[in-house]
Amino acid sequence: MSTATDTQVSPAERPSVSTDPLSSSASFWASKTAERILTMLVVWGAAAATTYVFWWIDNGLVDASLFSAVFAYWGLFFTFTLGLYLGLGGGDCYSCTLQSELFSPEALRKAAGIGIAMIGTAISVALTTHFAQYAGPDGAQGLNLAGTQVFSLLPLHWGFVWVVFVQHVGLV
Amino acid sequence: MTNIGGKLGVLLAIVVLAAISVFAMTALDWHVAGSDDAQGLLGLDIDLWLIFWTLMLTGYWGLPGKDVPYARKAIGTVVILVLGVIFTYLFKAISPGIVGGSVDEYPLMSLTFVAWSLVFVMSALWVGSFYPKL
Repeated sequence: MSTATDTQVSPAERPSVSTDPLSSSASFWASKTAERILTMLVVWGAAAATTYVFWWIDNGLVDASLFSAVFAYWGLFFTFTLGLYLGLGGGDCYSCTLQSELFSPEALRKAAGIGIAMIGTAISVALTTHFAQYAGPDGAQGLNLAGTQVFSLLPLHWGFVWVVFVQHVGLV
Repeated sequence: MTNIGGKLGVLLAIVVLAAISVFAMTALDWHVAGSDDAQGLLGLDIDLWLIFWTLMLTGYWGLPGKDVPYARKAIGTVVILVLGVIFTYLFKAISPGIVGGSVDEYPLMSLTFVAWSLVFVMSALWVGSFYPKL
């Protein structure tokens, strides 16, 4: 039977729904549904907020032709980072760990992973922005990295790369 | 080194599907979205299509090696791609009212479509992490 401290359990290894006594509780399912809906609201709220920040920096950064892609990519990023990596919404019961022990090894491990991803993203954005000048006036394949519409996509792409790297390499 | 043939097959399928996607979307960029510089996005598109098909085949379908419920996964794949199309055109319609600007020339159709497709395959993986029937 799963416990509140279970983490990083793959779906195949988890007990089936019918064998979990908790699953028979209507209140359990109601709370899990509420948690998942709340997670989706958080994910897309974060995506909207981030998109707004890049729009606010300069209206030209996120115009109508780019708004859809920018918003979708940030939603994708937060779905992966919050939902699949951190397990919010019931994935790997990260919130259970947080509720039982805020500074558990698992919580600290995830926090370290996010920290590494953020530092790696910042370094990657800085390096690619710096070296983009050698890609010619049009940048690399249309990526004008200095003050163009694609500016918002740059940290996102690198952030996605680093979170995937942290999770799948199992760095922390 | 287990099932190296299966892994190479999936890798080949990912590359082929990504290439087909880019060429198909580039054609749509020209003929549907009215863009005259769709090729300029090739470098930005191809990596995203590679990510999308990697997630779709290995994450969602569980290839190679998983016992795949083909019918359910095929339906799910079609649903994901259709939702991608719907959201692409939905946001094309509402974007000028939200952030201003014009979508008369919409050179980002492939980029937008793959973005929304990635969103939905990632959401399927997230939901599937606690509801494996998806």
